[in-house]
Amino acid sequence: MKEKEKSLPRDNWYRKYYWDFRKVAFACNRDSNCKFVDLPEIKSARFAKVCPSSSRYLFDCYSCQGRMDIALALIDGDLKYGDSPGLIDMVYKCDTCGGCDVSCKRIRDMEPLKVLLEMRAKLVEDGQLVPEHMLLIDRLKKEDNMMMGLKADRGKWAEGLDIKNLTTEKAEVVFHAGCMVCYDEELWKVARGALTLLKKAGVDVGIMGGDEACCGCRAYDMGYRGELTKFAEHNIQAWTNAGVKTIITSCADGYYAFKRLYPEHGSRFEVLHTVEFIDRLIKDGKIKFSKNVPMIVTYHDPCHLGRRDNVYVSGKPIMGVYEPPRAILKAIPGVELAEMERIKEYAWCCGAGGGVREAYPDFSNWTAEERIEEAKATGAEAIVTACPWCERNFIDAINKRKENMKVYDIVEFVQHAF
Amino acid sequence: MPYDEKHKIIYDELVNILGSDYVLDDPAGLLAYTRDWNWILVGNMARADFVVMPGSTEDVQQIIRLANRYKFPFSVLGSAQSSGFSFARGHYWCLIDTKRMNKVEIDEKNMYAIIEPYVIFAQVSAEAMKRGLYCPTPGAGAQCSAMANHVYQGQQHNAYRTGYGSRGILGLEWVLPTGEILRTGSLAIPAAGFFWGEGPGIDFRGLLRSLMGHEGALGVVTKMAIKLYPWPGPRAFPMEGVVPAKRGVLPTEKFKWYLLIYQSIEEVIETMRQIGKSEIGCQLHHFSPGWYLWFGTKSNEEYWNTWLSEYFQKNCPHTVAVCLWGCASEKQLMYEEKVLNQIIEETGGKLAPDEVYEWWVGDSYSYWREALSPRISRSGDFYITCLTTDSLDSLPKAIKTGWELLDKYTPPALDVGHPAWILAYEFCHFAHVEIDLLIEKDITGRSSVIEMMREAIKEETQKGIPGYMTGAAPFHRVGPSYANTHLIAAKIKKALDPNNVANTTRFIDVKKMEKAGE
Repeated sequence: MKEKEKSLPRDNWYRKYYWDFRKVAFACNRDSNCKFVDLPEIKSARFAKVCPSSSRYLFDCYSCQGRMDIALALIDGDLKYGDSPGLIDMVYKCDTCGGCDVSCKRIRDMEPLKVLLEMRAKLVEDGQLVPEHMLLIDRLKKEDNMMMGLKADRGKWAEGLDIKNLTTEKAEVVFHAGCMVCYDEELWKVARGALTLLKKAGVDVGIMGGDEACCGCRAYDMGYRGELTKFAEHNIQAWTNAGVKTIITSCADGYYAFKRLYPEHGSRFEVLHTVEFIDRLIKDGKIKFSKNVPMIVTYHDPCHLGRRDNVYVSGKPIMGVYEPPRAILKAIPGVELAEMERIKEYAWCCGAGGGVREAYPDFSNWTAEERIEEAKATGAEAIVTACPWCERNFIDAINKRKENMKVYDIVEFVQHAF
Repeated sequence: MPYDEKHKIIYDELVNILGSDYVLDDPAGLLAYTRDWNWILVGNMARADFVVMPGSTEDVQQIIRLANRYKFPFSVLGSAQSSGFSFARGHYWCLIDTKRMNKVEIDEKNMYAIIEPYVIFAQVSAEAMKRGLYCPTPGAGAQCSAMANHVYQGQQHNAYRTGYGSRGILGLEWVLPTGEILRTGSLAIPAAGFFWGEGPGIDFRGLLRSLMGHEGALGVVTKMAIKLYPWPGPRAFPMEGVVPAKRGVLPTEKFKWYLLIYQSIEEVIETMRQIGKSEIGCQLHHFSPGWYLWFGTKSNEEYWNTWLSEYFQKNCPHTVAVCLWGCASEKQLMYEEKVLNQIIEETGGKLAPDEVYEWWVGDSYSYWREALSPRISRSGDFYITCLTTDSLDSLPKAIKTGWELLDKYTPPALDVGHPAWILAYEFCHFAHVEIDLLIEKDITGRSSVIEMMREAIKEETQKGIPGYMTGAAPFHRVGPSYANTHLIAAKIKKALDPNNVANTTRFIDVKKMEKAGE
């Protein structure tokens, strides 16, 4: 039978996927896979879930499939903002980690996370705001950071370092520290350690210092698209002026913004996370770990460095930066990498994303505690990760529980091996 | 619309029982409980007035007692994939969402799992595998509630070897529509535990299951023990790759799939009969060209391009898939291979092309923990023109009926050829057969499926096919054609649910029957 004689879908969307808000929301078939880890990868009943939101709040309106119903009702006019006192919480008690998205890409050929992000943008556009986010965004507009800090304090982490300031000098590479590292003194060692490694490798690197600005990623995830545009345009201009070709960052949020969001604003820079750079140095023989580090560690995949670092192509693997951090840990003598049950594209989130840490700290902490329980189950002494937001959330949860588990950024961890 | 006084009273009472975190009446929140996987049939249902989340059997009991006191209807959800018959259909409707009841306990020595309603198959499977045991999973997917599937239908991939799923129900705990707790099997004897399903006294499990389950119209099962089986495989699936390009093939010295190609459904049934008679293997299916692609292709584009190439239609018109296994030893597998080779020779089967086998076997983990089945409705939605569980001799009649309906309704149904999934049960003493139809998820598709369903019920009734469609139809309509079974059902319903509060429109609609003067 020839194609024209066959009965084929009248709507071409069902023959070849393309992004369409309503079609994706409507195509949800409520099979609940968005709540769970890729089914054959489930190794225990305890750690079977992938969605922190539906695991914590349980009702289906806190799952991706329920949010598809809400999105449809909003777009079709079946739900008005005034109808529902809980609407904002239902939309925003979500880390936008993308765990649900992976399940849908596995079996449904579509991207529901985009629906969730678009719905947030629409709420912001319509003035349906989370009060805690409003405060933060007001401050972001004034001080260019997500930490409620002063712009004048942004460069303090680099004081005393012999490093080029790219507001006045030029370099091939800019190291972007990111808001969390700049304003969290406990994490300054991540940025300082990364710069030490870069310089040791002979890289022509500089920083923007006090003039570094937020990447805009977190504002984007909260629905504030205008803020992303503003910071993208600012940063691209600043890097262009400094003659930069490559951006290196230790922040997964920044990495995602620069690599996946900025190109829409004209960015053509090479973007590397420090784990990719260190992995490259190891493979090129430029770094050798000389010290034995006899530790059992586990690795936590930051969402923005993992599954969210993926441009969806129907049927293609949900690739992210999964292997470089693992390769680094395996290259350190004495280190035993004990994997958690939920890893790579089906990893559990740290709980810091999507504006949750700022607006729903209890939920954020609960999510981190779940991950710590999973890490403990491996027998590891430490969680190693590659994002300061994950690191901070784990440190806070561990301190609250008075646990002995240690937390390291991978840049910080490799210092033990020199 | 603001809620009325009765709503407010019931809400406060529910909060008294469960706390405000576990009672939902927000209009946006309730929207998440208005449709299930089957939009074509169900569409968008009315919003319930409440969704509540009990944490224990006692919580369920109190909710049900409250329903009797205030005369409001309730129904219950497991994983809620197939929940169209449980959603709200009246005022003050209360949905019991069981997500807090999610405990699973494995009794390794006695080989069973004690489960609560919101434990999915994949969780039972993972816990069982760690202990060298196995829990078969259904075609609907391992994301389904294990308890709901056992109560509802019990169709499971391994039923060829391990028996029809519903036979695996052991002791259970059941809150009746009056709020009374019934414990059956060995659980009825204090301190005896869950180990036995039948007796003492009358075995009520048939009431739970019937043909299609009662969907909560006879109360809420809160705990159940299900049988587990010995597992000769690894403690976790040997998965490789990143979603959706994953492969997972079990060790071939213990598990060996054969894909046998035949030219007609009659040859297929004879081959399945021979395999069953020989009692070899642990899974036995028949599938059609579309089946490979519904579950094996990773995108709609790949699906349609491959379908239109007609490769599978030409090279694999009918496939008998059998998994041989060395449950006892590798020698067992060698023996089973010898027997199968004789059957292949006698029945004239051919092995599937190597490239087909290699491609398909990468996804074969899914037959042990079904993970890919929701892909079937990726092109819109799917429905069934004929589905039944019957003897092998009866299958051709059901298949013919299903194909005729499929031809009649294509278009608007999408081109799928003449598919038939046969899943053999209990060494082929009977089998599940399913003729699937793909349809676009729109109004045209929906109205034609509804029309097709009406015709299918008529056909099934006339031809004596104990079909899914008939089971899904209002009982008072089809009962007269089946020895007035609806009258017996009504008596049972009235005895167990005198206030008619448990999923009042499902299983038997007492009000409609009384109105009709029956």
